[in-house]
Amino acid sequence: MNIDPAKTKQLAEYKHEAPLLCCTFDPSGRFVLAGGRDRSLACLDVATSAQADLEGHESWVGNVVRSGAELVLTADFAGTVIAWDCTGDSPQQRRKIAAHACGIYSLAASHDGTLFATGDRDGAIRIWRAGDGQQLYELHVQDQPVYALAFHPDGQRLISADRQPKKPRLKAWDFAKAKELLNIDVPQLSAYRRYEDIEWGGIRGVTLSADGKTIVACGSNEYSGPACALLFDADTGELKRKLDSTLKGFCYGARYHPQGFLLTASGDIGKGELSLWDVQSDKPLAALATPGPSTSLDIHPDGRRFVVTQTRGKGSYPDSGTLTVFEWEA
Amino acid sequence: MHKQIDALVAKRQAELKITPAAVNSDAKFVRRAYLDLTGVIPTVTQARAFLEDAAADKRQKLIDDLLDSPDYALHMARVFDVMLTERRIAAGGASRDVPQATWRAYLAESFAENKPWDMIVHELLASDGTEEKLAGALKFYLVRDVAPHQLARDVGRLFLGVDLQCAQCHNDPRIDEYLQADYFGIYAFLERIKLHPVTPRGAQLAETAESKTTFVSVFTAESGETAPRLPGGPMLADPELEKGKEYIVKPGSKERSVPAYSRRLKLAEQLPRAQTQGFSRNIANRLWALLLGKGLVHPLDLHHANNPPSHPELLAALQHWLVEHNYDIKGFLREVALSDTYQRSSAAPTNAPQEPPDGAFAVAPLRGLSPEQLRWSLLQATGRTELHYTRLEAQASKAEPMPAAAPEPAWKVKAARNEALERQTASLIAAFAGLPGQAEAGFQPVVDQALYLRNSSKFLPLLQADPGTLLARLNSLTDAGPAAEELYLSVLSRKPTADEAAEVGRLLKAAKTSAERGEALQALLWGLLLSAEFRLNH
Amino acid sequence: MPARKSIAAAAAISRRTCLQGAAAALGYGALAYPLRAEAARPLRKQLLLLFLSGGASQFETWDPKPGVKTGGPFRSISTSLPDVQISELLPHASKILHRLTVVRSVNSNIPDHFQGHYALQSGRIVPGYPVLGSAVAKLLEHADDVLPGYLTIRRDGPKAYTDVGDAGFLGAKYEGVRIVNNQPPENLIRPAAVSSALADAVDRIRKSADERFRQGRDDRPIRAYGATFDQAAALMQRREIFDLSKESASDHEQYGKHEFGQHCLLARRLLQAGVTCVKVTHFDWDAHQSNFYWHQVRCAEFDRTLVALLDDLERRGMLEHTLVVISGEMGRTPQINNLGGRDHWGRAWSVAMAGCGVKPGVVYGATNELGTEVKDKPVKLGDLFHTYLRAIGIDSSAKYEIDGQVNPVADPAAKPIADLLA
Repeated sequence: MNIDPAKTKQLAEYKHEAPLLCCTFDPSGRFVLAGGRDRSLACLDVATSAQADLEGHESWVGNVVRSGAELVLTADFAGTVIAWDCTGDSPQQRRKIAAHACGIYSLAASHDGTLFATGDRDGAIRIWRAGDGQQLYELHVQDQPVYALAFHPDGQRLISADRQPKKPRLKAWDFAKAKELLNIDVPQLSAYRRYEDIEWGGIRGVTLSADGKTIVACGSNEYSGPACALLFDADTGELKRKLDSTLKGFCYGARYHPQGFLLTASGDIGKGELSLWDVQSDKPLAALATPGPSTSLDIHPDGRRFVVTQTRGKGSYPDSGTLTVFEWEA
Repeated sequence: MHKQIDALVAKRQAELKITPAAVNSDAKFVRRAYLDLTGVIPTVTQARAFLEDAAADKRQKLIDDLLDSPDYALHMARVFDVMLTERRIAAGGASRDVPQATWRAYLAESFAENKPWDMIVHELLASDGTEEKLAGALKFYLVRDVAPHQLARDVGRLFLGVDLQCAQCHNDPRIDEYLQADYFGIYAFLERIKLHPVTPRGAQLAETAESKTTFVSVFTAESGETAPRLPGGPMLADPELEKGKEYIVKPGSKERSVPAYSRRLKLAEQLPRAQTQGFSRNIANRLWALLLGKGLVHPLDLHHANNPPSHPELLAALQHWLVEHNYDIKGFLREVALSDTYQRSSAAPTNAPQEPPDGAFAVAPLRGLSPEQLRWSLLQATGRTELHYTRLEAQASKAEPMPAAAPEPAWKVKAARNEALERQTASLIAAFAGLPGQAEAGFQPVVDQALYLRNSSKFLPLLQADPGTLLARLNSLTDAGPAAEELYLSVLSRKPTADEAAEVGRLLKAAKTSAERGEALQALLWGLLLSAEFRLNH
Repeated sequence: MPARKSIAAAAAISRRTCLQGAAAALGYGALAYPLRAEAARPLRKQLLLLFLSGGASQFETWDPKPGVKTGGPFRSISTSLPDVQISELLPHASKILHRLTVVRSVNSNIPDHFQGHYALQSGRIVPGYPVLGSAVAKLLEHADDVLPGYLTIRRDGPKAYTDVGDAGFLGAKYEGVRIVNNQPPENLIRPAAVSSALADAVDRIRKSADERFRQGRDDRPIRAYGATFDQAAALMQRREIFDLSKESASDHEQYGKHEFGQHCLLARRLLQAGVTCVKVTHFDWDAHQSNFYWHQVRCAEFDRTLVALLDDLERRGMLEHTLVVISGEMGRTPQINNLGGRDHWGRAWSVAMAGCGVKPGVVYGATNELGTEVKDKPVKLGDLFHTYLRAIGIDSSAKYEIDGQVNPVADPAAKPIADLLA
C-alpha cells in the first residue's frame, strides 16, 4: 500500500529531559531508541506509548542504529558501543564494546546486518562483526573526526564523511581491502572560521539510496547559506543536486523512503524543518515546520511512520528534547 | 597672540617660582622649526644659510617660509594621518578601504589650502564615498571597519578630547562625568551606518533609518536609552517622517541604502562647531602639543575633572583665537612658533635649583622624532634625498618636455618625487611605528629599533658612500676641520664644538689608508645618526 | 652584567662537577646558569602566564559537573588530592593536583574576549593600566638588567585576535617583546659587511655624542635611548636564548613537538636566561561550536605539556621562584548551545596556579551544582592580580610614581587572597 508523501500527521510527541540528537526504530519497529546530551537513552514503545530510560552509557550518546533482525546499537562519546537486544518486552544490553579510546562520532550498520562501523574523533574507522562484536577492519581519515558513515547496499563499500577544514570530504572505501575508492571534496558544506582555523561545518549526515547510486550528504551551506543536502553520484562523485531547506543552519540527517522519496531533518536556532523531496527536482514536495531544531529522523521499516528528534529550549540553548512520531496517510 | 602665550606661560612659571630656560640658539631653532613645520631636518645648505643670515627677523621669516612650503602640507598630512587613523588597517583589506595615497592626498591638499579644521572634520564625518573629491576622507570610517562602537569612541577622543571608552560598559567610578550616556549619545549618531562595499568605485557608506540605542550598565544593571546627543548637548530626535518615506534608497537593493534623514550627516553638521563642548579645545590642545610636545591637557584625549588643563586661561585663549580665526591651523601654528615659549632651549638654566616640572613649558622637552620625521631626516642627513632629486631632475631633463598643462600644485609634485624614497624606507616605519590602533605616546624607544639601526640589511644601504651622498662629500674633503663641519651641519644642523672637531680629527688621523679613512667617516656618520641628539627633537 | 653572570655560572659548574653529567643529560646547555648555586644574590622571582585564549571551559577542565544538565559528556576523574575530581580531559594534571593551586570561584562577570583579557592581565576594568607581564617586569627590574623584562610567545596570524594589553603608562620599555612562531626578534646578527671594529667605533661615537648632549638636559630620554643599544648588544650576544636546537631531544619530546609544546619550551629557556616574565598563548579555546570536540583536542595538548613543563621547572629548581598562572580571559557557559558549543561566560569559572608563593594542593571556592554561579568564596580578577603579585614578593598595595602621576600597582578595591598564598 503506497503512502502519499505529502500527507503527514503527527501521532504523538514525547519529552525527554535532555536534548535529543539521534534516533532509530528497532528492527521490528516496536521501539524507538533515541540518544543525545545525556547518558540515558530514551526508549519509546510505539504501540503502548510507554517510555523508559535505558541506562548503560557513561557519556552522551551521539549515534544509534538498528542492526540485523534483533539489535539496536548505540555509541557514546566515551568510545563505548552497546548492542541492545530488542526482541523482548524491553531492550536489554546484549554486549558492551570498548570500541574507541576517544569519542565515537558516527555509527552505521550494514544492510545485511552482519557488520557495523564506528568512526571516532581522531579519524579512525573500525568495522565490527555484529554477531560477536569483534573488530575486523580499520581505516583512517587523516586527523579529522569521522562525522558520518554509511554502508553501501553492495556490501563492499563504506562511505565516510569528515570535516576537514574548508573542504569536508566524502570517501568511498573498499573496506575489506582498506582501499580508498573515491574521494569527493564537499567545500559547499564547509563553515570555516578563519580566526581560529576551525571547521565547524562538516558533513553531518550521510545516507545512500536503495539502489546504491546516490550518496546524500547533509550539512550547512557555509553556514550563512541554507541547511542543505547534496546528492552525489556514488560511482563518479559527480554532484547531481542540491536540496535547500528554507532554514539557515544545518541539515542533520536524511532517509530514503522505500517509495524512493527523501526525507530530511534540519534545524536552526529555535526552529526546525522536515522536508520531503522526490529527488528529481530541487523543490520539496512538502515541508513541515517543527518547533525545535530537528536533529535526526528515522523511517519505520513498514514505511508508514517516521520519528524525529528535536532539541528544545530557550534561544540557542536547548535544555530538553522531544521525540515525535508521524504517520503518512495512504 | 604669541605675546599672550608667553605672558600666560610666564605667569604660571612665576606662580611656580620657575625660571625658564633661555631662548635657544639659531642652530637649535632651525632644526626644531624644520622638524615641527616640515617634518624633516634642514639640508646642510639650508642650515648654513640660516646660520649665516644676519637679519634680525630671520626666525619669523623662516617660520613663514616653512609654513608656505609644500613640505608643510606633506608633513601635516603625515601627522594627521597618524593621528586620525592611529595606523589602523581595515580588517576587510584593500577592497574595503581607500588607498593610503588617496587619503594622504586629501589631507595634503587640505593643509596646502589651509582648510579650516571644522571643515576638515565635517568632511571626514560627512564623506560617504560617493563624491570623488572627498574619496580620501572616508578613511576615517573605513580603517575602523565602519564599526559604530569604535567610531563613537574615536570621535570622542580625536575630535572632542574625551575618551568615553570606559563608559562603554559602565559609569567610570573614577571619572564620573564620563557618563555612559555621553558615549551612547555619540554612538546613536553612528549606529545606523554600515559598509556598502559592492561598488566598482570602492567602498561606500550605507545607512538605515531605524534603531534605538539602549545600554545596560554592567555594574548597576540599570538600562537607559538615548537619542543622538553630543556631550553636554540636547538630544536630537529624528524628525517625524511619513510612513514609507523614510528612505531615499531603501535597504535590500544592490544600491546602498540612503535614509531621508541621516543621523550621521547630523553629526557631521553639529559636531564641528564652536558651541560643541570640547571641539575647539581639542584641536587647540592637539596643535599646541604638536609644537610643544605636551598638551595643556595631557594625555590629549583625557580631558576630565580629575585631569584639568595645566594652563586653563591659556587654553581658553588659544581656543578663542581659533574660533575667532575660523579654525586657521596654519595661523595658529605660526603664532605658537613665534612665541618664546616655543623657542626655549632644551637645556635647563644653569642656575636652576632643580629640574622644572613637566608642563610648565619652562624648558623645551626632548621629544622623539616620529617614525616619519626619522625617515625623512635620515634620508636628508645622509644626502639620499638630494641625490634622489638630482637623479629625477637628470631624467626629466632628458625626457621630452611635457605639453604645458595646468601646473600641478607644489605639494603634489613633491609627493610624487618622494614616492620612491618612501618605498625604500618602508621597513623603517614598520620598525618604529607603534601598534595599530594605539595613539602615539611620548618617546618610548625599544630594543627592536636599536637592533634595526645596528643590523638591518634594509637600513645599511643608507650608509653607503654613493656619489652625491654626504659620505662621498666627506670623503672628498681632505682636511678634518671642514669634514667635521660638513658632517655636523648635515646631521645635527649645527657646527661641531672644539671637542667634537678634535674627535673627528683624531679618528681621521688614525686612518692610514683611504679605505680606513672611509670607514672612519662612515663610523662617524653612523654614530651620530644613532645619537640621542639626532633621534630627538630638542 | 652578562660577564659577571657567566663567570659565576662557570665557577658554580666547576663546584658541581659531579652533577655535570646529569645536568647535560637533562639538557642543561651552555646557557644554563645554576640558579641554586648563585646564592649570593636572592633569586629573581619570575612569572609565567599560560594564557588559554578564547576562554577554556571550567567544566571540561578544573570544575567538572558530570551527570548534570550543564555537565557535558565527559566524566570526572580522581586526582592526587583526596576527594577532589577534575575533568577526565586532564589525566596528567590529575596526578599532580597536589602541586597545583586551583580557584573554582572566579567571577569576573565579563563575557568578552577583549575586556576579559584586559581585566585578567591588569586586574582592572578601567583601561590604561599595565598588564601583568609589564607590571612584573617593571616591579622586579634590576638596575643592571639587559634582557627585556617581558616577552610574549604566540603563533602568528589573525588567530591572535584576542591579543590585547600593553605596558600602559609604564612605557614601551616594559611592553612585551613579541615572539611570534618562536622566531627570535629580527636583526640579532651583525651583518657580514660590518666589521666588529666598525661596529665598536660606531658605538663609541654614539656614546660620546650622548655624553655631551646630556649635559644640562633632562637625561631620561637620552638614557632610555642609550639603554636600547645596550639591550640590543645583550640580545645579540645571547641570541642563543631563542635557539631551541640547543634543547635536548628528550625535552622536545616531553614538551611536545606541537606549537604549544615548543612555545612552552622556549618560555622555560627564556625564564632560565633571566627574563622576568613570559606569557605563552595557547589558542583555540573559543568553542562556540563543538565545544566537546575542541576541548578534547585542546586539553590533550595542554595537559601533557603543562605537566612536562611543571616537572621540568621543578627539576631545575626554577619552580621555587617562578609562579605559573593558567587562565583564560573568561570561562564558558554552563548552557550548551544548539551547535554543541559553550559561549562566553564570566560569572563562575576557574583559574589555576603553581610554583612560587602559592599554596600547593589548595582547591579554593566552589560553584553550585549546575556550575551556574559561585556559591563559595567568590574571587574577582582584581583579587587574583593582587595574589599573583604577592606570590612573587611584590607589595600589591604599592604605588607607581611615574612622571608625577601616582597610580596604585593593583586595584585598591581588590585584595590578595590569603588562603592561596604560601
